[in-house]
Amino acid sequence: MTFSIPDSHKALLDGPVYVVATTVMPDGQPQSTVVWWDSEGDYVRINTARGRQKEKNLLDNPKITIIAVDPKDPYHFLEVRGVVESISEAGGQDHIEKLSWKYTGQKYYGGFNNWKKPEDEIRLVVNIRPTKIITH
Amino acid sequence: MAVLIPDAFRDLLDEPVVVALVTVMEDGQPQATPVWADYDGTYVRVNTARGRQKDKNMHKNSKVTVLAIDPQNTGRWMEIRGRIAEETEEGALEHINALSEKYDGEPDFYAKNPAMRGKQQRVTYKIEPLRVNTSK
Repeated sequence: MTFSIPDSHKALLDGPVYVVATTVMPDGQPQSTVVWWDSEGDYVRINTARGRQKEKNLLDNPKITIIAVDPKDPYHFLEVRGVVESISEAGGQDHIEKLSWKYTGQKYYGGFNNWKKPEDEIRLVVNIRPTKIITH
Repeated sequence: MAVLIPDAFRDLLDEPVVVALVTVMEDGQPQATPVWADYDGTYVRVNTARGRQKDKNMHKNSKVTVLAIDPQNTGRWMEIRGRIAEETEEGALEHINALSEKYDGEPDFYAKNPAMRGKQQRVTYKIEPLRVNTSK
């Protein structure tokens, strides 16, 4: 692992904490959404679907910043600044299912998301290499 | 032209919800921190101290984004993309005291930070909302 998160802040990544992911629009405006995340090896990961604004922004500009704030204590937070190293269709669907179990305790398609089917969208794993980690 | 915060989501600014403020670093990387905020009917206002990273970023680059998550329902959130319409030191101490009362029930911000009393120059940044996206 090339990045490390202090023990005091690991639960903000490993637990089901909704985080704010920010990419940058072509005009330089930050674009923020609430997402699920996890980590694998050298990367922290989020999941999106093909064609969404986040993916478009990241294809132009790989800089992304994620902030995880402890829902029980807003002064306890973890900010990860990084760059996207790959956006991958392979494993995209497995990844959203894994995240759904982590965050909601149920499957994604036909469970948490009961209005869409897997064939309705192409899920993408966004692999982010952290360049700076800030804890508070 | 400022857009209005939708009535159905004003509670996220009127109640003591800690929000994520995203500014942009000189190298284009988004920088995110949890902050106190309020809404004066036109501008979303945040308060910082001179010299902090977000102060430097907002002073140089007016593009900022605020994301507020309902602490009772993480699926309900609001993204406010905006620009800094004004930064002012005038009234900024009163403003941080008002925020302290709102969020902490303590009308004297420096009561909890006595070592910093008189040592910081507070700054109020007024954010003009240009686009608001809401979820749920």
